[in-house]
Amino acid sequence: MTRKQRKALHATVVYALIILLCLFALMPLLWMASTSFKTSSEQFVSPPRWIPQNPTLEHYAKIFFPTRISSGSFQIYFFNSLFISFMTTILALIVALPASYAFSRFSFPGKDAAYFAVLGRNMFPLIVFLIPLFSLMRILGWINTYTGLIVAYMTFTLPLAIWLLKGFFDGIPTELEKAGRIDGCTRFGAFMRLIVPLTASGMTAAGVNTFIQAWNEYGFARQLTESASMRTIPVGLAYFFTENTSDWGGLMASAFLFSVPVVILFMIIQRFFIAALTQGAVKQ
Amino acid sequence: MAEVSLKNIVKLYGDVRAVDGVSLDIHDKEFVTLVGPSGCGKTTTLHMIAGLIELDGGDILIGKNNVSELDPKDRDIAMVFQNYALYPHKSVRDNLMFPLRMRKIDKTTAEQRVNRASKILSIEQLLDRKPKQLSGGQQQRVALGRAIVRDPAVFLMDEPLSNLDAKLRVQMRTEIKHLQQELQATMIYVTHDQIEAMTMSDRIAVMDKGKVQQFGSPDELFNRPNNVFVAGFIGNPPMNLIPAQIVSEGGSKKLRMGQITYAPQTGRVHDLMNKAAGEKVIVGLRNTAIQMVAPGTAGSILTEVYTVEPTGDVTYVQTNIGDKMCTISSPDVAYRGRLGDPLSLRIDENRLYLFDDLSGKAIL
Ligand SMILES: Nc1ncnc2c1ncn2[C@@H]1O[C@H](COP(=O)(O)OP(=O)(O)OP(=O)(O)O)[C@@H](O)[C@H]1O
Ligand SMILES: [Mg+2]
Repeated sequence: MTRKQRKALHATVVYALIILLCLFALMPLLWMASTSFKTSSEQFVSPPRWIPQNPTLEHYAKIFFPTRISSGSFQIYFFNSLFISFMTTILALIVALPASYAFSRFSFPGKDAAYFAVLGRNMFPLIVFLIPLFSLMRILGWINTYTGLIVAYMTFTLPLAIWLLKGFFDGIPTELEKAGRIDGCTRFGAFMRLIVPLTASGMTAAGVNTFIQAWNEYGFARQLTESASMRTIPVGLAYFFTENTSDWGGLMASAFLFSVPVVILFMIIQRFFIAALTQGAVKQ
Repeated sequence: MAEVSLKNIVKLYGDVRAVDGVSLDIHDKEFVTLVGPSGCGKTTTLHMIAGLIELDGGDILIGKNNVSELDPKDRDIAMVFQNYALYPHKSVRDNLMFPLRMRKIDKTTAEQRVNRASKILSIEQLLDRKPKQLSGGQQQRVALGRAIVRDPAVFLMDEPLSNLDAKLRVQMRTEIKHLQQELQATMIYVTHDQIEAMTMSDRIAVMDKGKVQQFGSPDELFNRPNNVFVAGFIGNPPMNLIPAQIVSEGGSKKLRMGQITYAPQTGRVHDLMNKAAGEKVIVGLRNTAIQMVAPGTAGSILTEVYTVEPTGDVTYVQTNIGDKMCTISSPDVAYRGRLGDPLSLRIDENRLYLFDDLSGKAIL
């Protein structure tokens, strides 16, 4: 074999493996999309069909205009998910930005312990926090409110955001703020004018990550909400199964619409996101 | 421009006395260098003057004002950092504009100043680039530019040349010195390179262990070192420092250095020996104060060649004097002695220094 042939063979094998992996990952998604356009009877035909014979939008109509009063409509879930994820992202960034900066730049008593506590949160499964959080939210009167959910989401979004942003700040030489302070900034001014602009990609990475975490969250949303009007999409999805019925069509239609924003979001900023993650990891 | 006074300033990091009571009076328009080995507190001192580090004791005056409690931005200083600290997301022009903008200087004046500074430093063609697109030497110029547009009372520089290659360093050394004189600026410059300090400064403060060991002109430090540390630090090659003992033989005092017992001829050295507190001293001799002479010359001492190091204009000879490896300059540049060749050496007693072995202080 010549060098060229060997290279070609190598490429073929690599691409074959990549395609296989992509198919493996995409299959459930494609099946979900396909099922959402099938009539209820076609969903269970054997052998299964990839392309629906009589494509229908009935499931989509059903989730947007539900007949049963008890179930909320998809647009409400969608709005709740979007609003909560968005506000979670904003709040997480507002808190994580100064927190991670402080962890990166200042020395204060208990700093190591505090940082350990932040990271240590990841050592426990989220479910451990559910009952204490529930009691807390009850006392605060935040059950079944947006505020309650958004604050609860800080428990798992903040540690990662702080860790990620701290990596960015660590990579920025401290002389930059010093130069800024000599050039006429206050300490806070130097942070805002000189440091924050440099962490734009870090904030994007942390923000996207937070958004997706909040968007996908199920357990807290399930327990801390009561009425249908407060449900997020993941909770809404669960209600397609009741004791007696399972509405596969509605579930698949909702799930398909649920995944679209995340996919689009990721497609737009994918390159940015990867660059951001590696930049934070590799210090200059 | 202004004078700067440090009055017994102190900085502690836990048990480390990073800056341990430094006092300096720096004149208006003076070029003063802080020099010393790594960790001696140079950067800390400079940052204290800048206001980036708070004082644990003492006072700092710039002009007539006590600035000890002021923020860096209110001290009217400019600083150049070792890694330049250019703002990476701003163009060169915006880097230069930034300090002016922060001080609310009107736009036309600001632009004039930026243009003038970039002309002085020949960076006019670089104004629209980002710092990343510049070479190390160019970044260095921009950093200098950002300092000079402000026209501050004092310039502070922390090893601004150490990231440049040897050739560029020598060139920038001249340029900074020239710039300081052209701008009539008060400049406080930090380096660990004693040659940089010697060539650029009006006065040098030699620091060690958080303390100023000596503050004086390059000539003073070279010719009249206060103590062993300064003697060994200033000068290249460093001064030969030979441990010795003052002994009395046949009614007169002599210097015993290892196997060699040396009988000083001049009254000066006898005076110094008489002033010594104990019998243990350190003899200091620059490489040029030890001369190679013809064998058998009266008063000469005998040693052997260890190595010969030709450098082009000077040839250095290494030899053991009293168990201490010493460097001397050969009068004949073409001298190429070999290991073990006998050497006759005469000591220039007018340029012999004695230091107290315990305190390290010069005996004068
Ligand atoms: N933030 C800090 N925390 C603890 N110790 C420090 C800190 N900064 C400096 N030191 C200590 O203070 C002493 C002086 O440090 P400094 O940076 O002033 O030295 P330097 O003379 O500038 O050295 P170099 O030539 O290596 O730059 C050193 O012993 C250093 O370890
Ligand atoms: Mg330093």
